Amino acid sequence: MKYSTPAFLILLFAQIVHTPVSAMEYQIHGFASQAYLLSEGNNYYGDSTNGSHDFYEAAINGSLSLGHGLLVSAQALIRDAGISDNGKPRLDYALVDWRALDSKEGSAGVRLGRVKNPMGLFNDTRDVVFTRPSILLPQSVYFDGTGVRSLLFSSDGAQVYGDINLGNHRWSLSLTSALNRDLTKKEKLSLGSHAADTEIRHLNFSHLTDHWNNGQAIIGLSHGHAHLVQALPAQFGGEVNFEFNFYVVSAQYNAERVSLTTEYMYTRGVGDIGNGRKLKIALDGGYTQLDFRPAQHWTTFLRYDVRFNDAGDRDGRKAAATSGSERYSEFAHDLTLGLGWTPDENWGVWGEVHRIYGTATAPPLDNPDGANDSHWTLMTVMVGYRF
Amino acid sequence: MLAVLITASPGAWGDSVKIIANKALDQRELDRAIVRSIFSVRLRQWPDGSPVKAFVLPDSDPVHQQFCREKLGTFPYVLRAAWDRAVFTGTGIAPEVVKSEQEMRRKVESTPGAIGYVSVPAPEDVNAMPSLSTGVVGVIKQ
Repeated sequence: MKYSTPAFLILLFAQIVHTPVSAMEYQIHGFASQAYLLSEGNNYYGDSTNGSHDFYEAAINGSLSLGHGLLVSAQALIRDAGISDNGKPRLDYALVDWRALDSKEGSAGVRLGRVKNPMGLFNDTRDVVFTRPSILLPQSVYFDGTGVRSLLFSSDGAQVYGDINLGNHRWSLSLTSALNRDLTKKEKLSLGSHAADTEIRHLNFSHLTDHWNNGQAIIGLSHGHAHLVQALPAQFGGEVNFEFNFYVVSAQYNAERVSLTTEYMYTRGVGDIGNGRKLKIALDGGYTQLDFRPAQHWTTFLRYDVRFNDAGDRDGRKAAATSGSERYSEFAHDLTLGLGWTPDENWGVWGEVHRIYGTATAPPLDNPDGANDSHWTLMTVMVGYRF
Repeated sequence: MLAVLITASPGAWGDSVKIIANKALDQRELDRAIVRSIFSVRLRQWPDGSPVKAFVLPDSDPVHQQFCREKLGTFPYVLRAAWDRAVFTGTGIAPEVVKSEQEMRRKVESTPGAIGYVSVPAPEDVNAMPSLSTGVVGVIKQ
């Protein structure tokens, strides 16, 4: 755990000094990538309507295997993305993984410290371009528009995991539970400039997958839960008490030249928002992506991605009638065409064009005067190096 | 130390690529399930508790592609995704990429707990490559 006892650290240190060097395995890896974005209509990551370089990512990580099922790992990561992420280094994960059972039939273990949150196919490596299905993740499931995305990165807590091989299937389950914590200043800012002190309680993630035929087909189910408690001044009704549950269903098929990936996410929030007022929200969305590899080192893809701010108001009419907002601000239909070139193990170059109807995915912080163009286009290229 | 070629059910596996492992290992353990588990970074240690050290050729190497197809029943890009997930979530150690089969043999021979693979010449080529076939036979006799 983040607040691990000295005794635990001493035991770990004792394990390290008593492990012969020949029995230790280690790895050091990292990557850096830089994007350029150009859009027409609305901004995405900086002033992209005039061309933006305001999107880069880099990380360095290391793992040390101590034998006897013990692995120690950590990663430092920086990411700059418009106003929603500022390029300050963060400790992305730092964990001790103890594999209690390890055999060809299956494995089981526990990770303590700062662990990555598995959700859907890509959340736990969402800020590494080499692991994503595109430069910009499908926003229906991997929404990047606010600083609260940091809640999804990693948990300071514990993760119990296990997998079992049953014939041609490998079932994996992980359960992640985070210690309660207060939202950082930056996270609060993204909720609104005057957000009061907010605590996140009972943040947990459950993730179940089946890999068939060594990854030829993958299906997954994910659930996440968070409880937000915000202390309001008495005149605003005392306390906000809001519970979120999100669910993701994932499926992927991998053939030699073609991959088909589809995911659906449903998010529900229920709670008190002060003065005895109740609020219920339900948003959803999903995407389908077809990847085609015409030749070695080359990938192309076509994706349709759709996000709805209100699953009961898919065309935005209700929101327009009650709040006067533009209908198109309540959804985003994003058709994306992409191309990737990985000349060797180290380098990657990607490009993609998004044609978007609706502004639900336009980051509010990059569009301070509102995202006012209902039909917009976004082009982005990214170059990455890894080792 | 010499690399040991495993001989388990070669027919069912396809036979243009051979798994090689460090001599100190008990080769009875090396069936398809364990090889799959190792190269997709799920199995971390041998049954005696010592760490597994896997070596692979570059993704674009035809021998690697053949290895993926024959021994693992998958494609290099699917395997690469599994390694990346392990590396960038801190949950496993990815195989080390070596540049050539010569380097593969050398590293597997000299590294305790090591496992890798090499190409096997087609039967009609064996006589044409006496040095390689002699080397392989010599290793099997160990």
